[in-house]
Amino acid sequence: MPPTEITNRIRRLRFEHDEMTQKELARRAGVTRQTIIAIEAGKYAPSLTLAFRIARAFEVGIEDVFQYQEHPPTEEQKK
Amino acid sequence: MLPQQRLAWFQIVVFATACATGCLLWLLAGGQTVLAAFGLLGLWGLSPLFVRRKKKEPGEVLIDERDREIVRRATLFGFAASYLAFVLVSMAIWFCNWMLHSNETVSVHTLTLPVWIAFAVAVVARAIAILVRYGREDADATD
Repeated sequence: MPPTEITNRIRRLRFEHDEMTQKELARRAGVTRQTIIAIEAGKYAPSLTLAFRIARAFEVGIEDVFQYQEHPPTEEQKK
Repeated sequence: MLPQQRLAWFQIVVFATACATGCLLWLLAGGQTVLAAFGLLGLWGLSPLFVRRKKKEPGEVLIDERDREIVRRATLFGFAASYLAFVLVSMAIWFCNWMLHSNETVSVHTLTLPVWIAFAVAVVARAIAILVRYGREDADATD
């Protein structure tokens, strides 16, 4: 899937939540681990429902997890 | 391997087997016998067996919204490829019959060819698209 304009802090939030594994987050959000991997890498923009479920898994607001960018970050900026 | 990937591989293997059988028939018997190889595509009817998978643990999600999106896009690609194949094969038949041999009638055996090929291309193109889309994302696993 093409890179999305949605950035996220899932990796950092997982780290902050006792290094929660992708598998555990997937279980809490009710999706497959592959989907968490794709979202984390910015390759898949989740539906609003799934975004809320992920935010709820971390017990934070949706904007603490996902941010919308008018201009997607370039590969250089990502590094 | 995810159920969708297993299914895609099964469909590609069946298609490859049908193609190999078709080539063999053409070499051994020639002519219209090649069409008999398309009968092997009936094995695609076993596809549901490859989608089923027992859950390893209670509550495990096997298919979610991303999988459905990948399959939806792959299906669209399959239909587009199928339509293209149908038109190209139909034009090729017309070209061979009319332009090369000035033959105004088409054999009833040849007439089924565009339909069979379009059907096969739809399934195989969809399977390849599914494998490609999953393949691109598998490399990103971190833990």
